[in-house]
Amino acid sequence: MDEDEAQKQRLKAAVHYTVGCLCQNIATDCEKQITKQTIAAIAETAFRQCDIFAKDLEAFARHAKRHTVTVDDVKLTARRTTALSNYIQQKSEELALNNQELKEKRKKNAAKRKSKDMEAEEENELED
Amino acid sequence: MDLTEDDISARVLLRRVLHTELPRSPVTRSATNVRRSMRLKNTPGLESPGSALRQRLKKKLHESASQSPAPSPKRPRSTGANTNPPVTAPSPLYDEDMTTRGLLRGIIQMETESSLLMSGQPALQESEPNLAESSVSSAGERTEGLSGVELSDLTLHTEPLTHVVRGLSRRKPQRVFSVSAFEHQLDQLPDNTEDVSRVSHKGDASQDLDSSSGSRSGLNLTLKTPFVEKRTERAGLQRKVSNRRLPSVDAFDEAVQRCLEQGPNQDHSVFQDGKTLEDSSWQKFTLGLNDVTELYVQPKKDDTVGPSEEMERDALHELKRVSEVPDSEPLIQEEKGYEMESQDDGEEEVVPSSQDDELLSAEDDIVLAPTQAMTESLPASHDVELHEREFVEEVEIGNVVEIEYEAVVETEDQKVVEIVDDSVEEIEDEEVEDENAEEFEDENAEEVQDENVEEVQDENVEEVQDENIEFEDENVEEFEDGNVEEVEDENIEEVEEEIAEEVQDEEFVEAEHENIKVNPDSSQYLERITRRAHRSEGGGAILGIPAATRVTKSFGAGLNPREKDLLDLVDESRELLQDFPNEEREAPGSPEFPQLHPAAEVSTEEQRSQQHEASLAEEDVPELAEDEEEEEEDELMDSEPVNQSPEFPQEEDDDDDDDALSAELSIKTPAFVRQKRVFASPTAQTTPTVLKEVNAGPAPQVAKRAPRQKRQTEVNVLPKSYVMSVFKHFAKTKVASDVYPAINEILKKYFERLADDLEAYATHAKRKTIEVEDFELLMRRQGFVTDSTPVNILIEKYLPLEYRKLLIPVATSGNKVIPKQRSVRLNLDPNLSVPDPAHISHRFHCGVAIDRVSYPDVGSLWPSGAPTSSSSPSPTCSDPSTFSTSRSSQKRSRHLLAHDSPVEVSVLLALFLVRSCQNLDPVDPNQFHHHCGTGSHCYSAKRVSDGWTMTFKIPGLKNHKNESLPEMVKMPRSRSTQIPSRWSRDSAGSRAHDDITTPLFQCTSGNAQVSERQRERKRERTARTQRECTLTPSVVWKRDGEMICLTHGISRQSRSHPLFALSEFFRLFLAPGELCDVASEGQSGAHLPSRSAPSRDSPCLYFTAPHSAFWLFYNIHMVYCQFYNFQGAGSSPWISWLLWLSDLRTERERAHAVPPHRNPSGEKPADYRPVAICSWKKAWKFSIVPGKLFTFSPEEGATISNVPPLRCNWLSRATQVCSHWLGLT
Repeated sequence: MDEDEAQKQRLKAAVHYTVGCLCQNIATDCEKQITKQTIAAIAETAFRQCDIFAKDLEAFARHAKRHTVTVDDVKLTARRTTALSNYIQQKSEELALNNQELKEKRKKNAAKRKSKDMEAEEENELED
Repeated sequence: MDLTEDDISARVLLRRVLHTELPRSPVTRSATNVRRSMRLKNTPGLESPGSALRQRLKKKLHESASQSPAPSPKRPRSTGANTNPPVTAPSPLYDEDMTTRGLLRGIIQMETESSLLMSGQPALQESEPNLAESSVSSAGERTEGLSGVELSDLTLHTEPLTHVVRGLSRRKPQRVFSVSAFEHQLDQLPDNTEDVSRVSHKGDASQDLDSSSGSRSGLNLTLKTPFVEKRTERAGLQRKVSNRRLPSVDAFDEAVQRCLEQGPNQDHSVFQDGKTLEDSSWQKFTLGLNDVTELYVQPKKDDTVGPSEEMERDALHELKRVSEVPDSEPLIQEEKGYEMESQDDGEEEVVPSSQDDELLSAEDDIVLAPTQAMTESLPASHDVELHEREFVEEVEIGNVVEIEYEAVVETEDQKVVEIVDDSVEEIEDEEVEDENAEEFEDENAEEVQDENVEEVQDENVEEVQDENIEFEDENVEEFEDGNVEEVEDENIEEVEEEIAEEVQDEEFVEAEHENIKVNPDSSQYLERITRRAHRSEGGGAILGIPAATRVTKSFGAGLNPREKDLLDLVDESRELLQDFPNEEREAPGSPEFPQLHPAAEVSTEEQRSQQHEASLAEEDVPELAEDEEEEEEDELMDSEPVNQSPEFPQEEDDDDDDDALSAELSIKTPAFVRQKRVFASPTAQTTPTVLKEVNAGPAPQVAKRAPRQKRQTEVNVLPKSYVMSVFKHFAKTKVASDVYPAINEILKKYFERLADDLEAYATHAKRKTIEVEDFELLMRRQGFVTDSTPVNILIEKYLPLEYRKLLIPVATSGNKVIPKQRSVRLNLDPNLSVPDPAHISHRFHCGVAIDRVSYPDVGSLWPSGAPTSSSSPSPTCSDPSTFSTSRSSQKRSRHLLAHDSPVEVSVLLALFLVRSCQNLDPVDPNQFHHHCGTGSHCYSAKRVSDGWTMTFKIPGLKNHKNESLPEMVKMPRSRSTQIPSRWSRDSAGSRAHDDITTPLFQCTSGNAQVSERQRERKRERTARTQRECTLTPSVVWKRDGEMICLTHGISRQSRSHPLFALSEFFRLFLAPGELCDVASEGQSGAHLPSRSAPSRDSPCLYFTAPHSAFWLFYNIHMVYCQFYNFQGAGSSPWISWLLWLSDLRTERERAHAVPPHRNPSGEKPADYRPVAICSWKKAWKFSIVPGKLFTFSPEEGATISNVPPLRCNWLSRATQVCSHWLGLT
């Protein structure tokens, strides 16, 4: 438990730090100041929201009889917030495209390799 | 007489008769039946009165016959037969009627016969027997008597007969006479019996005799039938003639014309002839009673007329056989005419003339048709003598039929058969004559059938009407007796009605069959079949004839299709029909019999035809007409109880429909049949009905659905009142009424979102249907369901008990889970092997089932169905040799393993749980490890798609045998309590005790998985190597809020019982002191049974978990298993605690774990309550009421009693019991 708690605190600290950085950037952009309490509250909220998301994602994954959280679960989690869902959708599509491209490339490479190998073999055979 | 009535209930008598009469029936239905019944009845006593009367009547008849003339041996037989037929006729009537009335009738008939005989005796020898018979028949069975009367003698007797008949019709006087006559007859009984036997045995001979004896054929036959086959034969011939008449409407018309021409007298004679022919028909008898006078008069006329008509119908079978044939032919013609007249009369004069007339007319009609057929067919069989002599040789259908009839000797049945045959013959003849081509024949046959059907229906209707009228108008008793003896019994009546209906149907069917089989050959077959069917039907009684059995079977089968549809009444009718044959045998003269016979014949024909032809109209008909039939039946049902009258009108309607043959589907089957026949396209008929039904059914539903949907889509999601009431309930302040629109909007949105979410979840799970899981997920997201509050908790918390019972499955004895639940698989580490299957099987045959729903944390070990071979863990037998020592063979051991391994696992689990709880100090994992004999092992339950998967893991142990076990795993010998002697009776048991120290789980590979999340993760925990096995619960763990109960029954016989094994294990494995210590430690307030070590007679074991106790008490008879949950209500902390402990956890987790018993938050039970008390013989269903003593009620169907007693090896027994208990077998 101690370890868990420590881990948790470390995570919280990290979140807090990140939130603080973000807030600082925004504050500078907006030329306004954000109090530490605000940052702490935002950090805590984010942390808890992450927890909720995590649980939801887990539940969704299990609901789909999976053990791995996938993009679908994330989409489902963000289903309610249209902007976020759209964004995620877009990103997921991009990822999918990238993956496909990568796969295609791999395939091509593999095919090339195979062809090359075949040619080499043929050449070898011919040589033999 | 009354006594007889009282004694005899129609069904009982019929049944008795059936039982008794079986063998002899084949020869002659009526005669044999009667005789048999007589004999049987005489012997028994209950029915004896009726039988005695019958016998007496027979004797009298014999006497009269013997007295009247000194006929040749053949003649005496015939006379005897003649005497018998009347007797038989009355007797069957009596039997059927079952009442004194029937007896009285018979007596009356006898008396009348005697009187007639006296008068008739002086007549010619031939005529004398005939006269006697005729007199008898006229008195009792008018048909026969009429036949006899038809002879010259009849004319002489006509007047007295009329008088007598009139007197007889009222029966009372007749009864008086009958007594004396009966007595006389009784004296003569032996002769009758002999005659009967002769007849039965020698149908052909009797026929020959009959033929020789009488050209009188019709009369002789009728007379003979009762006693001797001859009569039946003759009757059959006559009936055949009558049947002939039936088929051809034209013939009827012609006959009518002829009759008209000839005059009423002839008609009367014809009627008499028809009656004689129709000896079996009750109606005829009744008619005969009314008509007797006429009949007597008629015989003369018949005689006179006969010759005139002979010209046309010389070919008649009757003529062939008997010189009287011409008479018979004219008679037939006359009968036809008479039928016409009678019909007319019946229709017109129905009431005044008396129902009998109508009945007679109807019967006559029936008979006439056959007679016409006979006439037509006769040409084929011209040589009467040849026919008589060459029964078998005669190929001609008519002849054959006659011969068969003669052989059969069955009066009523024969008559019916004859009728049918006649009809068939007629059809055939017509077909042959009209058209050689089969096609034409079919058409003709159809036409003929239609005509016949119409006629038959009309006749039947008329008869029915007549019967009704008779019932209504005439003295009920007399009419019933005369017309239908059975009338007294409602059942009988119903049967009769049904029979009549069936008869109509059957007739139709017959007609259909005939049509189908248009070919002359086929017609012959049909005839034969019909004959057989008649025999069988009428007599199912005709034992001698194999065909009878066939017929009976076929009859039953044929009836079945229709009857199936029919209501109980139909069944009754079947029974009655079946019974009737017997009754008919007994009482050939009963008017009902003719109807029944035709029905039976029809049915038989149908059956045969069905057999021959796969697709018969009949089959289609029943299906098509099922609904209609049912309706009809219903109607009949309704009508029958009230009175027969209502049914009859229905029949009439049917007849009308038949006549019309209109497309309109009459509710009754016959109409359908007709339509089918006529249209030859059953589908057309069916379609309308189906369409109607279909249209009627779904259409309205659809219409309803649409509006509903509309309604749902309407504004209000929920009724305003409900919403407001709920809202007000939860709102602590007053709620203004105008809030509703907002609430409604919110509700709307809420439900929409709800549905939206559910839909999204369902789609996410790649399903198209929203299931419980979706909703559960929704609830989880909404925060209703959390790790600490699973759904079942919510259910228990918020839902009433009724719903909880429905929602939360609970295991009950008998390995039943209510409500039915998905199977749970127990995943075992494939490497897991039981060290010694022998002692495990014998010791740990125990299934532990944990209600998974109620113990979500545990991950319920739930038994799925019987463990299949694949699912069975089949742990490797570490030491087969040792195993085999205790068992017969290694195969056995494997078997045990295969079957028991899941149980073992469960037992082990349970044991482990208890053990761990007792001995484990969560704070000290080492101690746990040490104390747990099984070493450090864990199980994890995982929820799989269809259940829970349990994974057993024993870290630190690999697949090894005992020697490889760590020392600490072995339990110190001292720990094992003293082993009861009985336990060690088995060598294996003793050995097992020695091996107690062996770890339960000999090996496991795989590391203990540490799940971060405690409860949910437990379920999900998956062993890297898992084997699935089904776990069936023999021990049920049930949690009911407060209690955890282990329910199981053990008796002394059930040493193999899981619980017993469990308790034994505990005893051996745990030191009592240890347990007690734990118990004492756990709950101070717990009232635990005394620590005293279990005695042999009352061994008690106490197993205590930190905050709960398990108490086992078993004595010779019972085993008491008590579980105490000191923790109190709430989720099952004990179980969860056990599971939690049992689950391998990291040391850190374990260190942080706080044993429930150290959390004094739990409530202490006021008292321990027995959870289960089970006797071995019965599985008890336990019901738990929180805070109360558990009550047990015997559970239906859950009986262990069927488990064979324990006589075999303990182990085998254990396996048996376990397997049985677990539902593996």
